[in-house]
Amino acid sequence: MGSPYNNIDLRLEAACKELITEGGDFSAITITTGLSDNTREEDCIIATCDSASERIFDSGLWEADCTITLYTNADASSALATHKTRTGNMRDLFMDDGIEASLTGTDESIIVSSVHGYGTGQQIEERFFLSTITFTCILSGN
Amino acid sequence: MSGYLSNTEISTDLSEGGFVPEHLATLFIKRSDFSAATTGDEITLTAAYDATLVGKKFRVSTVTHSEGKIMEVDLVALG
Repeated sequence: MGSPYNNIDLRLEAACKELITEGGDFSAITITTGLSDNTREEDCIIATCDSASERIFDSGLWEADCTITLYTNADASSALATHKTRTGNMRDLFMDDGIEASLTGTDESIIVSSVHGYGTGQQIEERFFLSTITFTCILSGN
Repeated sequence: MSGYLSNTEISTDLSEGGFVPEHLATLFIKRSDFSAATTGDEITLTAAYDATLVGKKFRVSTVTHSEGKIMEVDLVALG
């Protein structure tokens, strides 16, 4: 099973990046994918597809785990308030009833049939506030 | 504010999300010029012996009140 499935993980994280970028709430910070050759800025959102596996043998239906991580530097003024607002906007974007259609509608030629298994997390890493949302996608190539 | 910039290290680190600049520098300044320097403050370099460093933004990581009127500031790059 080769194309269009051989890089479905990279395309899914690119689709998540596109969705965040076009969401409009994050124009002031960098949006990037997990595998990226761009320069990473301090405040950023990283869309990562951690892994993908075929759900049913030879069906072309894949199950992929995604993590979206928001980084906000804690040194800026009102950093925590900013981080809380961004966290809410980021999670609203993905915990949306129409998320499957939104991801399918990106330029990445994927068909997303289900997004489920949401989880959230938060932590402090060095001088950054981190918030995450994790979810599982059922998708196929197009 | 002006001072003496020394020990500048320039490199990048690749991590999830892309390349992270790893410009580390030590700045020696007069304490009276920047008495409120604390960790987390942001500094933009407007002039330096190395033109490629001009315009770089740094964040203060450590402030050392070493001797007399001299303050030693360790910086990390923001991009």
